Amino acid sequence: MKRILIPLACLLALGAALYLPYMGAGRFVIVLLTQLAIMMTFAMSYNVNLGQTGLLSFGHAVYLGAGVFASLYLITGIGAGHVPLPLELVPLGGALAGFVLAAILGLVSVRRAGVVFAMISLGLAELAVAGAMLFPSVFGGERGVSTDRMVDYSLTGLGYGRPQEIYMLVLVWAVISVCAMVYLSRTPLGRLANAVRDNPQRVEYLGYAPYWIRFIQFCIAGTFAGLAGSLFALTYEIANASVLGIHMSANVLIATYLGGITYVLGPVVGALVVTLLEINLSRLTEAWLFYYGLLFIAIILFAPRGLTGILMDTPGALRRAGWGGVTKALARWLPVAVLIGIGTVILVELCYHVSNSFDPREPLTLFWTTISAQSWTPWIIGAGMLLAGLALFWLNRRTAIPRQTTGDAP
Amino acid sequence: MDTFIFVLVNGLLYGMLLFMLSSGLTLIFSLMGVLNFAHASFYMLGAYFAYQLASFGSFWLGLILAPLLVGALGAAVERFGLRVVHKHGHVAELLFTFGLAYLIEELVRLIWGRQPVPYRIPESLDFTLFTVSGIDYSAYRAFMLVIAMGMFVAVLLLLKRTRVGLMVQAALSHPDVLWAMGHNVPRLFMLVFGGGVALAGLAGVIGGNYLVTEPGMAQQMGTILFVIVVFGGLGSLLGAFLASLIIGITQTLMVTMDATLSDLIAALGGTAPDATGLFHEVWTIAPANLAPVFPYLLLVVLLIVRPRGLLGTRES
Repeated sequence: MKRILIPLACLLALGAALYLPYMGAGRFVIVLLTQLAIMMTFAMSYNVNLGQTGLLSFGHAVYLGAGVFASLYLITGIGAGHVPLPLELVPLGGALAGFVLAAILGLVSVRRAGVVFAMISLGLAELAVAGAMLFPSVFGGERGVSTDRMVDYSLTGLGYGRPQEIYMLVLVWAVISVCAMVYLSRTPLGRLANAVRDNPQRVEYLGYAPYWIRFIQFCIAGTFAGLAGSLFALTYEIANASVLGIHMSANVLIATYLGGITYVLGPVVGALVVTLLEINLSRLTEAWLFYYGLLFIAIILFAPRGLTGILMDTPGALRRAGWGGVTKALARWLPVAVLIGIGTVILVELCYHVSNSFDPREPLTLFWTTISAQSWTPWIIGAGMLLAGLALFWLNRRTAIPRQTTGDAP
Repeated sequence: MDTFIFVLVNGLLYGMLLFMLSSGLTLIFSLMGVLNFAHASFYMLGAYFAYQLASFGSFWLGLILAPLLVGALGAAVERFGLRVVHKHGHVAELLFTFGLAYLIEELVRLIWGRQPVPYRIPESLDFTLFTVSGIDYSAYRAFMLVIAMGMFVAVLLLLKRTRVGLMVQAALSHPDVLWAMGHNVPRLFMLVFGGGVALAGLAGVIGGNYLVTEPGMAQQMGTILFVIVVFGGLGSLLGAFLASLIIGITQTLMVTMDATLSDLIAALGGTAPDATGLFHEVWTIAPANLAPVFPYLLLVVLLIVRPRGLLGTRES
């Protein structure tokens, strides 16, 4: 069942992605889809490190940045007639930049996995950002480096001035990259990487060198991150040193983990959810980053296999529990979720309104009612709901039947 | 020479502040194997709590209560968060503290706003203690130094001379045996986590008004802390102490230097290179600009030369 459903879903998604720009979708949808395709490639490349090889990196954006800046200079070079390369092949240059940087930095960082690797990646990331700020002649300082992608030299003859055209180019490269990474995860190298993640001693005993397997995987991840950076450069045509920064790295880490690191296509789900959240939630509330963080923590605590894991487990769990079980579980947990959720939202929005808005005395609209943050009533209602929800959660946990564990992530 | 001594004393002060944070971090790491990403966030919370308490009552109220509050919060985080994710392995724990750091930063923005808050030095300590060759030394700096030294001695005594300290030392190497002997190891973990985080909170209380109390302070401090614990050798308290002082003093010294490479070449009798083209800034970067980068440079060099750090005994 799953064997048919997943490729089918992928094909449907691809079809929609191809069809949307031609059914008169607005500029907004196209910009969103382009961003999604870039994020997808980037998150997939991140998971080559985290999910497949067990390397938790806090500096993956450095390789994205290498691709971004290499491509910006490359596009300018093509435009000036110095580089004989059609615009469609610029991502190859970005990938090369990502690969070279990953190969250099990988030599010193993949000696150990786990915490030491994480710290080195963080140190290298900080070094890269601070170093980039020191060289405005290369990275453009705060203003950044910009270019113009309309270079009159392309394979297809398109000018790539319109968002639809650049979207198609980005989509093609994103699909190629995702397919390549899925394929690589199924080669003997990909399997060995999984083995290194789970038990490096044993791999060493079998005669393979974990160091070099980690190194190759790290280089692959860097290459595709550089490619994603190229797509970024082609789309936005401008970047400053902040693309190398810890925020970008944190974002891809959160997206990948939310999606589910134990599934090959988990990062795609994560990129989808995070991009949609970023755009829709940020229009809805100013405190969206807080909710985003809460979601991340909740996933780590309660669903370590991510949203894809929840998606995959649901049919089986439903079948096992039957209708009676489902209603029972809903009756048990729905009030908890509603109480905690609404209580948190009320408190967060009130807090935000008091400390960050222009005029705290102005009434705010929350859940279709207009309230004043100056009176105590909404605060008490919010806190009461949250506390009641937590109390109920505690009670439920104590009386709940031990759940059947379905092979959690190692 | 006098300036040099002042810089040295300031560097020492900064180093001690760093040590107040890194000691807890390295202790938690060696005990639980968790590198607490949110450690600097608790430092930030300490500063904000102290600011809030100072606006209610006095600075001294904050000095006593804020670290306790932060410690209690840390213990709760260990009990209801870390302990839950522990079964998913160290990467999950690291990710949890990472998410927590993210969340605490947003929480601080939510409650106290995006701008720095006016957390000030108490008036009773806001005077010049002594003046040497025209440079004032404020009483508050001396006070910070006293607190930091006092904390250092207290932690040392606690670890070496008390029963709890003995248990912590035992748990460092053989937690299972300690548990088998009937001691409550999970509770010990909770206490150490709470205690370490409370120290970070105390550093926030005395450092928040010396530096700036703003939502970005945790991230700024956080990465330097990791450099220190890795540099000193993961899990080594003495290593963390040395690394804190080395980084604190070097960074402070570097800020006062403004000679550049082209100055050096000119001094040696050469002609200064042309300041155009890509990467031409190499010739005009002063050590003062390099000060923020220096710890990371040190970290990378050290990890290539000696991956276990200054005094570390193991590599991971």
